[in-house]
Amino acid sequence: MRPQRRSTRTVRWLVTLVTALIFLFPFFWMILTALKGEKHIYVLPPEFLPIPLSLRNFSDVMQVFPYSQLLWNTLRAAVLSAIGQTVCSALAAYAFARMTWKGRDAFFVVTLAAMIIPPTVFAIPWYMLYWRLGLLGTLAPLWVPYWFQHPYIIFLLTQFMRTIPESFSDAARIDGNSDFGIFARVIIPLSRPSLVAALLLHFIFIWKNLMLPMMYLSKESLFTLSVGLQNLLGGTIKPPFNQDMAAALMTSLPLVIIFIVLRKFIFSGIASSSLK
Amino acid sequence: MRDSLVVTARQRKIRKRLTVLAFLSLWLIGFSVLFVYAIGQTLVYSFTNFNFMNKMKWIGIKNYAYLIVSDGVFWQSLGNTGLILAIVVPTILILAFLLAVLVKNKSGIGAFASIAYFLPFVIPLAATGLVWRWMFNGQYGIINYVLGLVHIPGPDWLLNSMLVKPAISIAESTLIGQYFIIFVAALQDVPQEFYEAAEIDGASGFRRMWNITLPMISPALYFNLVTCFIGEFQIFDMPWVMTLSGGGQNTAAGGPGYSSTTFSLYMYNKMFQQYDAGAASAMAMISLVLVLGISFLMIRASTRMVNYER
Repeated sequence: MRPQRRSTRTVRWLVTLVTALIFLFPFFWMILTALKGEKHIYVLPPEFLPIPLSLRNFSDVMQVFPYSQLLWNTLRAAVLSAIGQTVCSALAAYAFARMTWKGRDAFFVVTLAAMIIPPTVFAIPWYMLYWRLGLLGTLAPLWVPYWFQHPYIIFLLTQFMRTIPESFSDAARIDGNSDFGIFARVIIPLSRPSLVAALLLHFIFIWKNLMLPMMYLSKESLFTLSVGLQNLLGGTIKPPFNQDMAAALMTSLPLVIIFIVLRKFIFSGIASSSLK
Repeated sequence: MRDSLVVTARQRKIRKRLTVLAFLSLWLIGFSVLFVYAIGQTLVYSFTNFNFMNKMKWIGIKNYAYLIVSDGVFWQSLGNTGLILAIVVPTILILAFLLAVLVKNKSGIGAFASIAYFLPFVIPLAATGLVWRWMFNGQYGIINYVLGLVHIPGPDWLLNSMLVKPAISIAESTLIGQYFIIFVAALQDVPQEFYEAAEIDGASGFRRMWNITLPMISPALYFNLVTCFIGEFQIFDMPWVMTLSGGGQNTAAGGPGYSSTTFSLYMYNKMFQQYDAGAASAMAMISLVLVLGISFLMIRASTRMVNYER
């Protein structure tokens, strides 16, 4: 590292801190507003401490925002689809990264191209498919398709599996392992960081998603947190902003905690998905 | 030697093919049904008057003709998306790049800042949109309060057809997380000796950035440009949550009027509010052509601009 003058370092440190606080501000404002009483959010200048602390917003908003039900639906959809897409993608990634077959590179390019197709292109045929299979009244549209497709995660895992030296597979093959044995005993254990990244990225994606559940969930009892949140805006009476923020906080906080604890996997997963 | 142990080359080849097929089976089903068949189906729907109920009738290019010739909102939604893209894509890329340069070493304050820059990527957009809606509130929003401190009268951002798109773009531009991470990874791969050599030659900070950093990270820059363009072209959640209003049957988003109706929002309206699946399918095909076409142009340009030799 180049030696830097102390003044340059201080300026750099300050700029980093200030920009970081700017990016944190919306989340901070969400928390602060969620803890204020209704009278206190309509005060200018805005109060920067929630005094008196009001926790009633959380119970009040739950009258129109059935948190435990929404959370349970979201968790089910996110876990089931995260597992499914990881299984499907790990298997496909093995064929792309660790086996040689005719047409492999061409099909890999096609898989990459599938990644950039806007999901709205599939929306109506998938809707009809779910309708024919009787899945529209269930949570299935949020997770079943991911047991069969996820080009982005296939790409991410292929990139990772390519970095495992060929000699590892060869050694296992000499020990009498078939490709399935090598996959299960060698490649999967060695790919653990990228598999965790795949699970996490997709878990977050489904938790966050708004358009998919809005299109495919017909019953209010199946709504996920994001849909429940936007539903606050469509009602005849919109809750005040402190209740909105309480619901928004309950929707975001689990993801924020997961992200802070497991961020290393998420960062390295995204970093390795860049084309190199 | 037992016969069954003698595996001919032919048998081995067949077994290997079957193994490949087994590994690919799930994705092959998904690819053929959920992708190829679905795109074909959308293409067919786009030439019909399908509305989820009726018996489908082939109407040729009428859906496309109506959208392109008579549907003003179609062009408006395309223009809205274009304007938002023109603001958001450069802002995100420049911010992500500068902040990545700023926190090259992810220790101490850098680790904290990385969490902060990435956080908007993690929080559901339904929640983020609600916060921005509150912050952009005309009367009690924090943004207008701050503007008031410097004696600028704050407008009603989300109720003003001129200002709603910039407001959405500002909110959307905070979603730099993944691009930031990719830039940080790319910067860490630039060999330090290059900078040391440049320093000995007396190159200024700007020259080092222009002649070393940018060429060395150009693959990441290009990757970010294409993914950011594709992602933002489909912008839906933020305008939806920031502009949704109503009560029962009157629920609508994309306002005031159609001033913040993006392409995806209008397609969603056609599909699930007007039940015009034929027109929605035509819009889907148009978006497919636009995204693939512009990505293709970017890929062709990249072969000249991007330095892949590492």
